[in-house]
Amino acid sequence: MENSKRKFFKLFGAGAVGVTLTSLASPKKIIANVSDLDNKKSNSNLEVKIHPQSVKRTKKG
Amino acid sequence: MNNSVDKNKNQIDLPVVKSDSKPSVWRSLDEYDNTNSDNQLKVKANEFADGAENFDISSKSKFSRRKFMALMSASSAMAMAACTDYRDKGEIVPYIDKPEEVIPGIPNFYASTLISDGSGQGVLVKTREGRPILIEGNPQHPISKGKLDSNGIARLLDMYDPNRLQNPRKLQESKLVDTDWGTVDKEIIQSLNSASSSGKEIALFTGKIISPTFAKLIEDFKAKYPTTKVYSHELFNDNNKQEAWNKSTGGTTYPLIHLDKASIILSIDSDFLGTDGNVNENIRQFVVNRDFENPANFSRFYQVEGSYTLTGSNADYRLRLTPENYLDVIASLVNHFAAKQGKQTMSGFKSLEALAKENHWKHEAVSKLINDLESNRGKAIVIGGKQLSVDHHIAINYLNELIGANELYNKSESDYNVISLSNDKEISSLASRMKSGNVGVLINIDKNPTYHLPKLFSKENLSKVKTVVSLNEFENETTNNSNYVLGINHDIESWGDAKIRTGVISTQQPVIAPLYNTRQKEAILLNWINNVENYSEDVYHKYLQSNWETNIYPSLNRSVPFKEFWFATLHDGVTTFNETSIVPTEFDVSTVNSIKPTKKSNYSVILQENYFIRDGRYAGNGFLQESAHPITKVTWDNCAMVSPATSKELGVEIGDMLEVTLNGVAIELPTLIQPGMAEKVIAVDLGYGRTNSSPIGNGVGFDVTPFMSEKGISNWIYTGASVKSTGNKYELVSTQEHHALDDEFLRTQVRKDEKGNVIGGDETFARARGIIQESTVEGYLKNPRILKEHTHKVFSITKDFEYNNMKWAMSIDMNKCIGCNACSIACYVENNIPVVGKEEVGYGREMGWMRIDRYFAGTPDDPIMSNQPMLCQHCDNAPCENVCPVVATTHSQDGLNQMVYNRCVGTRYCANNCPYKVRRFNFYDFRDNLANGYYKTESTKIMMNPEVTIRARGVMEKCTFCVQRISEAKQKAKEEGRALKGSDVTTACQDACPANAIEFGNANDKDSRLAMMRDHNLGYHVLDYLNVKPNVTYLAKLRNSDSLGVKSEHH
Repeated sequence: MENSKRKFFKLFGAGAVGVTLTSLASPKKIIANVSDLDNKKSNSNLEVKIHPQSVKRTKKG
Repeated sequence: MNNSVDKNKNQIDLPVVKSDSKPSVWRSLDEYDNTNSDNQLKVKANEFADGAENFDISSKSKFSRRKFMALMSASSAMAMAACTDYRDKGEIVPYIDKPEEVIPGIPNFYASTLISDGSGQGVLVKTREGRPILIEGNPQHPISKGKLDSNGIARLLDMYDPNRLQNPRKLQESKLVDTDWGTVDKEIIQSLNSASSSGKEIALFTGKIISPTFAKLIEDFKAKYPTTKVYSHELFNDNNKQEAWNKSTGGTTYPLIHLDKASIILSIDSDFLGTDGNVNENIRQFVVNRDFENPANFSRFYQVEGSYTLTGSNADYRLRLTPENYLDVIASLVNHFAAKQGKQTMSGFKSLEALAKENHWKHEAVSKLINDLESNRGKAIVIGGKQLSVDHHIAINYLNELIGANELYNKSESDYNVISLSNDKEISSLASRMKSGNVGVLINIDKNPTYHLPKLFSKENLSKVKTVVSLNEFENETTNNSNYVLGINHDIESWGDAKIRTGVISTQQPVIAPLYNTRQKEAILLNWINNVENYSEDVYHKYLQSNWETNIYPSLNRSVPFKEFWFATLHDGVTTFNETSIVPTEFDVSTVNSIKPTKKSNYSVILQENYFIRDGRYAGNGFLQESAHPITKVTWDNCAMVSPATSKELGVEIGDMLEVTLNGVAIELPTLIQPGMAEKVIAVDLGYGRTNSSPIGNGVGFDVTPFMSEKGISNWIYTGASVKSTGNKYELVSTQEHHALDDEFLRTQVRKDEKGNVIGGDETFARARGIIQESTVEGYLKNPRILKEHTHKVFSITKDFEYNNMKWAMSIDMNKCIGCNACSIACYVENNIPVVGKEEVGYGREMGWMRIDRYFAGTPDDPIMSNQPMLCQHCDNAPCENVCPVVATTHSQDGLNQMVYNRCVGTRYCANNCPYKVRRFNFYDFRDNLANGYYKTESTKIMMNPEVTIRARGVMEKCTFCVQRISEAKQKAKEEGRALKGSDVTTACQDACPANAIEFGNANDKDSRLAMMRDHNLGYHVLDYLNVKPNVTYLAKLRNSDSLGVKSEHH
């Protein structure tokens, strides 16, 4: 019994330390990470600018 | 004691037996044959699609308790650690310098025009904080009238597509690399000067030009570079129709037709409700005479076709016919009327009776057709499909002359061609000159000739041109063969104008400054004309304004100064004026002399325009790829549609690969057995099989453009194909049996009288449940309560909730709904619905909140099709609400079935308990899941409607009746100090519907049209007997024919 309890804590400890380290080492910004994938273009520097000479409406009709 | 129940007295027969007899209503061939064939078409007839339950616990290895504890501890540690890495949502900060136009939280609208697709549709772009979030039709536009086709709605996604060209690119060491505009301008101007001075041709290859100012710019370009020639090409065009009209009458433009005044319409393979002509206008006019409130004036519509089109699915009589016999039908009708009128006949053609016999047409159809055309002189019209040959159209023009159809031609306005499309000979001659080295510069303006015309614009041919420049929004097959690839602006980042009709010019204005380092195509050309080093962003804006001031405005005779007029026109997006159009209708009979019957041989091939991705230009648009084809219900693919009899003859099942050989070109295509196709006809959509589109469009479907040649009946119809099975298999994904309202094919028990005679029952479950209810016009006129006669009374043991104030409800008029899907795509955009991709659709996980169910009636050889838009019915007694363990779905006081997303824990009990199968579960973060997060970039994030929550993984979602619009209307009514009205709110699907089939409003407002429709004799609720009290009312379809697929009367 003593033996298995020790084994359990050993495994628990190792698991916790392992995943914590893995987690800390992984990139922080998940979204930025996705948009930086090699297979598509990064467009993270987008700027939304309203066109100055367009004529808006405030209602649909 | 006898405990048996007398079924004959039951109001509702419960389904108790499976039967081998054929159903009267069915969704697929499997259902018709009562089989569950293991074919390659990925359809799921089960209520709970396989993918929904694909975690098989028995396949997992057995765990020890210790191992389980160890893993649990590790995972809890990981969870704790992961909490430190919660994704950064960013911060919301107020404007430092607020733009004058923007009030946070309040949308602005900009009127503009879609020009790049040549449609010239007037649009209204809704923006929030400067971000365009929805494109709709412009209500002030006299042609669009507030409606927009599905492509136009989905175009928003193209603007935010992460794969857009973001910089000019130049070929260096066989690779396209980003460069700057100054470099490309300088080098291209040198090439243009060099070509011009050496007498070599500069070819401008464009699509349909509808902009008067762009046409002027091209003239300026020609003046600057005199060796310039312009080629305007569209893969799908009506050149044959126009040429025939010119030969028949001498007129330059085929007239517009008053479909709204037509009592009888005969269409010869024209998909005028789908892809032929100005579709939105056609739909709007067509449904005028399909008015359930005016059944006595219902039009009758005949469709003759070899394939199965959206238009054909709406016909009262659909006559299947191979394309080789189209001329026989036209000529036999011509001969009937010409003989009576003592006019010239056409010889050598089959009679209509013989065709009817050969093709097993309904016996009454032919005599009815002739009677209708005879007795409706001046109110009947024959429409020919744009893909027919010149001969077909000449014969149709003659037939129209004979039946007096010219009274339906619009004499006051006509289509307007700024520059006519080039004909096939002109395009071929350009290719020859390219091959011989006589073309110095080829400028491809927003086209893809290598894909559309692979034989003429092959890599080899293009390599003979010194400088090939492509101006495109996206990379494509042609940009691969270009020296320069210049990114251009999206429609809603551009200035422009469009004239597609006499007396109407619309304007295009940018709604947002270009997102990337792109320029609009006109500005690029203008810069090459002006030869200036310092490019100014408003160069084309100034040019446009100057052209309007000097050339367009003076001819309009307006009393206001130009500036005022200009800003008013930009505000409205359109201006109208008086302009005469000459429509000659004198028919030259001699033109029919040379028309001979079509030779018949082997299989026919019809190359069709796809309803969504069109000629392939929208292949990279996820909304459009995921939309189920209205007829086949196949998504993310094209396929060879064949009739059930032809499939038997070829010995193929759905998904078997067919090798189709036409004029020496062999292409393998997957089989789709399509009920209702003509025999020995293969119909396949063009626009697929793109190789350089985007991660969304690449490799989707099969490219059949190599079939196109001058050897067919026309560019799109061919005979003499040989077809054989290759033995290979392919997985097609179809939504036809997804979210089925009956989980299993069942039939009601046969009811017999005391003598054992069958007196009823033996109905399909679908029919017994009254999902599709229809009647004939005649039957309805005789007995307006035909659908109400056998209404079952339902009652509840609990007291109903009383809605004393507002009660939101919807009605859908099935007489008007043609099944175009504009509603479902508008719903995708409005409600931030993700695209899931082919694999997930295969599991039944498509996320659309509104689907169009398709039902067939009759036999697979010649069925009648019925559509039914299906969305959350917002039931008063919603069964989904009772089963949610966390009360995440509840009912509002104004009748809405609501979802609380952040309360939902994803048990999916609600979806399982929903009788209409309209709830959708986020099995993944689908934006992240599709193509490595293709739709989860910065650009697609700013496309989202900020009024609609983006649902997380593990959350259920469904139609909300556009609750965000209801909230907005409530707020507005409050600000204006008045009571909220039902008419204050329109849903996205309602706004998009070109037929105005959808009504939305307050059911308690008894004066509203909605309330009238709810109480109408034709109004019914799907699965009414369940007593869930749905709030979507369907107006039963009336068919103007003697035969009816789905009988109206209940058992």
